[in-house]
Amino acid sequence: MVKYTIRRLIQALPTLFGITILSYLLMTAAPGGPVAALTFGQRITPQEREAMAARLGVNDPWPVQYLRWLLGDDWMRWDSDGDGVSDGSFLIPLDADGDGEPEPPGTRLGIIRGDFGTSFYARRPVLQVIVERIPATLELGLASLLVGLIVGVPIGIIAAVRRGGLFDNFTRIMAVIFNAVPIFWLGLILILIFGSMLGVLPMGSRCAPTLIGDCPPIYARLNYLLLPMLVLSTGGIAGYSRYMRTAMLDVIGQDYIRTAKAKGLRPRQVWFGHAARNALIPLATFLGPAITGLLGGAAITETIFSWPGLGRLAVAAVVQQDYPVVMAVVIMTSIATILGYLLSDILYAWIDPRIRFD
Amino acid sequence: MRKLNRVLLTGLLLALALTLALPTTAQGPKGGIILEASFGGDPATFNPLLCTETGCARLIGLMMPGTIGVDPEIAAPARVGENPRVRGALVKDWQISEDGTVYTLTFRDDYFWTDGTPVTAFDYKFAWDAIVSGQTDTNLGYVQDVIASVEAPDATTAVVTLHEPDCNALLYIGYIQVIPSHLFSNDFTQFNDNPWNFEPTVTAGPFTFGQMRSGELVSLLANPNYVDAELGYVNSEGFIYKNVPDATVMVEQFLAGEVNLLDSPAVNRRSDIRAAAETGAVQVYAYPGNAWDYMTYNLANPANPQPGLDENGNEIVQEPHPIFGDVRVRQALAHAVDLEAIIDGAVFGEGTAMASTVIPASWAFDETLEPYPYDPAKATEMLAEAGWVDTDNDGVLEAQGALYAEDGTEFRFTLYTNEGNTRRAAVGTIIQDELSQIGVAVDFQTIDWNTMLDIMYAQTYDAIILGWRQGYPDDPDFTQIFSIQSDVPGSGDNTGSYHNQRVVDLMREARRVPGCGLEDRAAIYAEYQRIVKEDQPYMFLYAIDGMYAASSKVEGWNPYPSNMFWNVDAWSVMP
Amino acid sequence: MAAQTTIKPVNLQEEEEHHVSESLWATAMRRLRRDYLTQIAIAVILLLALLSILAPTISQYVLHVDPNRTDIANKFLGIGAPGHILGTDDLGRDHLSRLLHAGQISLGIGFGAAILTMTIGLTLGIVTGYYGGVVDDLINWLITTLDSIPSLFLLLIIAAVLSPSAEALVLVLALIGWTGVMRLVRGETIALRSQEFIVSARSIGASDLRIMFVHMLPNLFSIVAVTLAINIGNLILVESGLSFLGLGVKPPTATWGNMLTNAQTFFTKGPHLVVMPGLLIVITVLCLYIIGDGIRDAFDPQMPR
Repeated sequence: MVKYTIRRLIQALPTLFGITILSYLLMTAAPGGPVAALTFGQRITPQEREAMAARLGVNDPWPVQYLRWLLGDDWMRWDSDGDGVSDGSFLIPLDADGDGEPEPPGTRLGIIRGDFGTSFYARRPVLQVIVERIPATLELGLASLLVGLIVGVPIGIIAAVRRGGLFDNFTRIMAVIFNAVPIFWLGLILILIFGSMLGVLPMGSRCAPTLIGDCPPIYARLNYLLLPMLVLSTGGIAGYSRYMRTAMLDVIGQDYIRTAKAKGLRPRQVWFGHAARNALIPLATFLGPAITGLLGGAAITETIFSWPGLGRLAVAAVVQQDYPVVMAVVIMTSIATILGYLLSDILYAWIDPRIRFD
Repeated sequence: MRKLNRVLLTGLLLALALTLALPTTAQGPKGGIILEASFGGDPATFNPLLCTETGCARLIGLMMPGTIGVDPEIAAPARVGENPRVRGALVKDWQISEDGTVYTLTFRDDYFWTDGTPVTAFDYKFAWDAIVSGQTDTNLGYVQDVIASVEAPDATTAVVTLHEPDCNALLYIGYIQVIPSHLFSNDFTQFNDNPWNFEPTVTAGPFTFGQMRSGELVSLLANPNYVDAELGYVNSEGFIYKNVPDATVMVEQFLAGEVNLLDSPAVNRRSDIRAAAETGAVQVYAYPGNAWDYMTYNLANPANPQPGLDENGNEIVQEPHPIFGDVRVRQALAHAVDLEAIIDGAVFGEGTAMASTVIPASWAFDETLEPYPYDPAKATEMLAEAGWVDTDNDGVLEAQGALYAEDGTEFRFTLYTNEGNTRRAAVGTIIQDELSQIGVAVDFQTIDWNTMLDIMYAQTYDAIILGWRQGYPDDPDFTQIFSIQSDVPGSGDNTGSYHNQRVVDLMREARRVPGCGLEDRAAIYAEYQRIVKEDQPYMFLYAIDGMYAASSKVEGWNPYPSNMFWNVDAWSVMP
Repeated sequence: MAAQTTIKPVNLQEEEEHHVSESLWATAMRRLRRDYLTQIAIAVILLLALLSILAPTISQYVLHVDPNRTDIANKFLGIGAPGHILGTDDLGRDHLSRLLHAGQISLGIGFGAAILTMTIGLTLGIVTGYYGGVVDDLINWLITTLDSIPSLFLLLIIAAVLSPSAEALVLVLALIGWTGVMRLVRGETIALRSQEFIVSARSIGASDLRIMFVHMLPNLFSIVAVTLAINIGNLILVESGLSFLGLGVKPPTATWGNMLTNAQTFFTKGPHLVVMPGLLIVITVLCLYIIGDGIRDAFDPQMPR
């Protein structure tokens, strides 16, 4: 098992590599560029624009930019005599802004050495910008996942037990209808009903605005969580209930269930004791990808509900062409996804002894 | 239920307040939190020299002193102490030298940073040094176009020397805002990364910095030592700038009282806000706005963009745009577009038609100048005179004896605007439809903002719908946009290659009028406006009316167009 | 590659010859004929598609309106206004004819991207599943890479970079979406490979191509049809989501998604402008889900015949 995990992780490296190259290539291919996005409408001379581009390093060819991001630039422009002015360079010129004087040596370490760089827009370390948003994203994501499972699984089981019955049909139709509504529309309708018309729930945000102090513990602000969680979990509820229903029907056709029935167990025991337990096993494979999907998949819900999560940050960063932030988000979610798939596999093997890793 | 509770609570508090208020006359702050909703993301900085967007500008305005005071009623520079409306500014007097090039500013000595350090002319000098160092990310470098040097001989005196006399000098002097220089090193390479930029623990306005919760809000706290407070103290507890990224939700939150302040709510929801004002739930202040939209033409051939001047400063004769190079065509198009329909359709009636680059709210606005009237028949006639007729009856005009287009060329052009702006998308749609009715085929496209900037600066476009926002006090100067020096493909702001020396000369003249009397200057700008209207480098559209809105719970709210917050220290918010 | 955990709930029953699968078809058809809900859904989709395809003709000859003609004096007319069956929008344009034109784009994107997705996924899935080996490994690496980027991000980056037209969006959606289909088809093909009728076809000397596309393809029909139907629905939703984030098909080209996004900003002025495009999206997606479900049930060997 350990050996398998290690091998999977090693196999993931070229994948990660591919992802970062692909993302960087796409980002730098975008028209305009970050300098135009940062300076529009300001009274700035062409020289100042150039200097800014040099400072951000966005004038270099994209492979150089990519290498700087990956491996840093302290080896691209260095200072051997320690006078604070670089005297040697590789790949990037000594005098990048063309003012006749060499720039200071490179200080970037690259993400390989844990340096995610500085956001073009926020002028702060990328890691800081992103980490601030993770709690809100996790909070909403995990809550939605949980609700999806807690509501979806029982619905699926009951629907299977009462196959073709009123409950089965009703829940199936409801699940499909909720899934067929564009998510931003659903969010807005809920806000209008529960916020504007009834006035019983707040219209977004993570908690009440306060002058000082962070949000109170989550149980004290469930009213803020309720609507976005509901919107984000509709997909899960529909998916899990549908899956559980199918899986249950699959399992009850199996021999051991027939045996159990023949042994005279009560139907309730057969359904919930045997069938449901076995039907739940493959659900583990859903969990990994589901967790990672929640990381990045909530941009729309976050926007409608003013939720301070990662998805909104990522959308803004893409539009502002804030390369360092976009790249950090891409690589983090990608790692999470790869780990998620791995987790699924391991979980699956752990639950189901019939699967063996070779 | 919540509402009921609130009513009961309010009643209770009211009763309590009444009993408490009766015996005593001296009152403390009434409290409450001012809650404004905002679209944008987190402010990137709180340093006035680095701030480039509306979010940081708003928060800095509430935390930091202005250099030159502005009388909000007339939106003009004013000396501190001149009248009670001028608050939170540092310069109590200025003297102008005989030749008009040296301004001696006298700073007040009763203004302190929150850490007890006095705010001095040295702070001002430091800001100037930071700007001219060239080592910071400031976008204020342009003040050097007007100001040659700043010296601070003592703590209360700053001497500002100009390159030449300039009627906008006080504006430019005011663009340079003080920062707490005692927290900064003289090595300006560290300037951009100073922790104060992001956590301004030391400020000097009605409010101090509270906290930023990324993606959620920025909070400011009442400054107990604010010296200019009308009541002697800041009346509210603090200010929260709450991030609400969806426009619809923002208005709903305001109407439901989740936020209590809006600046320029979306035009398509203003009627709802007005309706709420009629029931007394909210207060509304509408005024002639300072943001305006236009359609810029490329007057030069987009297939061959050229700079205005060559390396030696000699004018390059550019190939004209085959269609828009002819001023008669541009004038004809102005007749073909119904501005009233555009204002009604695109800004829901919340706008005022414009004839030139000067907004109707400006002191320089020429009221006698009317936009070209909507008259499609006349437009057709004018186009025919300019050599554009539908020779093959396909519904699209062709060139026949036009000035710059080969005979048989169809009257067809591409019109861009930035995606995500529904207002400009509506403008484009209407223009496209109205021009199609006189035989002009418009390929209207909304495109990504950055792509549009690329195309615009490269000068490879035909026409683009965009907007400008003027400041308060208004500076109608357009030299940066219309001068031949700015016609540089790839980076210059004169992207339409509009060259008219007379226009540039007038603008220069207006800034050098002896005495700088507003009426004298307005007279010069009136001529400027007439010429620009005739030249039509832009198709002028409308200025968007401004609107401020506050919950009726906000007491003491008394905005002027130039500034909603001039008396923010006296506001309180009822529970 | 070890445990690729594709779930294969469908166990084709022990069939002797591939003609048996024809009886599966017959059964499926018989079931579908009794499944009125699915039939209604199919009819609705066909009707919407037909109306959208005929949008220019209908506008011109039936409604007598130009969908691009603005008329500010008559904006926000309600449903049933004279000359405008579904009223007019914020610029006074005829709402019904715009909805039909928008349907062309929305349905076009959904169907186009789904069919393209299906073509890529199906071809690669059959080929890799059938041959295995190096090709399989290579493509597996590729899809692992693609699948490891949350697709919304990839879509956002591409949408921001390319500012796609409707046509380009179809391509982009397909290029991102094919991996799921491919995994499914590949798994199914591997299962089919050892089925007796394939083995016997190979033993009588049928070419690989013939086996793949004549013998295997019909057996993949149900899985393909189900995925296709659900994909079309999802893609229409994705387009509307992108529109909301400002990265979808750009106005003035209308889609149901961007009409809905635009109209919700002034919903108090013209509620019908929000309701109609929203309703069309919901109905379309709903019908497609129902069709997907119906086909799945019809081909399900475990269902009572």
